[in-house]
This record gives sequence, structure tokens and C-alpha cells, in this order.
Amino acid sequence: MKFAQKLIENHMNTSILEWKDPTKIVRYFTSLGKNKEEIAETIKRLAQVLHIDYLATENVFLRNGEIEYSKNIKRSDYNFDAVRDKYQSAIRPAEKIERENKIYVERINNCEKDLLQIANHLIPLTAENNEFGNNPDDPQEHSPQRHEFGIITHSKKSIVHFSRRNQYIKDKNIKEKIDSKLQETIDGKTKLELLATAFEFHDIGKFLRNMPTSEAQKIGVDPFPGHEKI
Amino acid sequence: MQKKNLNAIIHIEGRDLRSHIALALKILEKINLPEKEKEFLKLVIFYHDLGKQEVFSTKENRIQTIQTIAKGRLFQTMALHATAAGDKIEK
Repeated sequence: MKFAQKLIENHMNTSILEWKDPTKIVRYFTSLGKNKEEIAETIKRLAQVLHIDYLATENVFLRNGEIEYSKNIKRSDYNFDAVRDKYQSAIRPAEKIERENKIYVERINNCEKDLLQIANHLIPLTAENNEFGNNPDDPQEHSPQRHEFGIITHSKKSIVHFSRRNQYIKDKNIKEKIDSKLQETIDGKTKLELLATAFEFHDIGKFLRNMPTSEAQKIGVDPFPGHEKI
Repeated sequence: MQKKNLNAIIHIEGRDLRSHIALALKILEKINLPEKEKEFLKLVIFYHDLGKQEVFSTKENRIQTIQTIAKGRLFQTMALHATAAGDKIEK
């Protein structure tokens, strides 16, 4: 009975073949069974149910003033081979996304702790740095004209936006080129891992600033000259 | 249909839900499958649209139906019906 219920609950998910997100696809299919065999059995039975439902359903369209009968094509396209292929082709990309997400999550979770420690170590203990030392993530201590956030939040957000890069790039070819480059390794680490690390630490040189940001702004100079080289 | 601004009538399954189920069961009967599998599929086909009774008059579904008709598609939507009658089927 549970199996019958599972089929009924899934009989409207006929647009699976159009889905593009590998993680969503794999998550959906793994909800259909505990192992490969169970998933395959569910797909097989669902395909049968949808085929019968398809045969017993008709749409009527008005095209160019003529009434036209048609079937729900999505249901007829839902056949065992096509759906199984969709699942199998999504497994590897989904695993890759999961591996990448792990890297981002680890970096994002560690970012605040890591950078606070580094800030405590690097910010010179002077009277003028008192406030900066107490709150190294204060946006006013960063460069408020250029940055909305403090150094730590800005670094954290740069990792978040790096992880979302594919939402910002429209050209599919460019996306693929970037993704493939990021999989190249240097000393056993992927460029993606190294870049995520670079985003976390890219502004640590700012903790060694020459003068308080407010003073630098008054005289119109950069409070963090050469910070990228430190 | 043109006068009413309609371009499609969706889901013509027969006079009503019962006739859709009856037709689906007839189709299943003609398919070449082992008897045991057929019995199981009969059960699924028999109940697969039961959730429509649960959702057809909900506020959300009425809104969705109105929106669908506004797009020129004469269709009584049955939003989320697939999951709406789970416990009833088991009973």
C-alpha cells in the first residue's frame, strides 16, 4: 500500500525530464527508493501509471480557428529509459556540486573565527587602533565609501558570491569554461579550493593599516595602501 | 471558444472523474502484463486522482483556476491533488 501511495503522490511529477538542476534531480530520485533497485522499480511503475493516465486523457486546443485534439506529451515522454538516463546523468554533476558546497560551507563557517584570530594578531596595539582592535569587522573601520561591510563580513560575502557565480554568468560556454578551469589542480588542491581560500584571506593585509580609516579619509588617502602585498 | 477568448480546454477525460478512471482501467486491462502487476496497477489507477476531491474547492485552487482561465485555458486546476488524499487511500 505504501508503494501504491508513493506512486500516486508522484504521478504529477511529469516535468522531471525538463529539470536542469542536478542536485534537485538526484534529491528527487533518491526520495523514490532506498537503493538503486527500489528507485528503478518506482520509475518503472510510475512510467506505466503515467502511460495509462496519458492514454485516458485528452486536451482540446483551438489553433487557427480549428479545434485540435492532443495528448499530454509530458506523460508519454515519461518512459523508463528516458527517466533513468536523466537520473544517471545527474549523479556525477550532483556529486561535484556537493563536493564544492562542502568547500564553501567549510570556508564560510571558519571565516569569522579565522579572520578574528588573524585580526587580533595583526592589528597593531596602539591607542588609535583601539576601536579597530575591539571590532575588526566594523564597516566604519573598513573603507565605508567603497565597502558596505566590515573586512570580515566582506570576506565572508565574497566566498558566498563566488559560490553563486553561475547565477551571475549567463553564457553557458563561459560557465563551463570557468567550471572546468576551477577543477584543475595545483599541488593536489583544486583551483576552486584555492580560490575559496583566497577569497577568505584576500583582505587580511588591511588589518595592518597605516592610519585610522577616518583620518585617511580626511586627508584623502587610501587607508590600506599596499594591503594586497602583505 | 474564440468569442470567449479561450484557446484550450484541458483534460478532457470523459464526462467526469469516474469516467476517466473507468477508461484508464479499461486501457490497463488491455495491456499485456502479468496478472499480479496488473492487480497492483489497478489499485494505483483507481485511486490516483482521489486527491482531486480534496483540493477542488480549496481557496488556493479556486485562485489557480481563475488565473488559468484568464490565460485562455478552460481548466479546473487540481493543485497538489497528488498528495492530498494519502491517508484516505491507506484507509
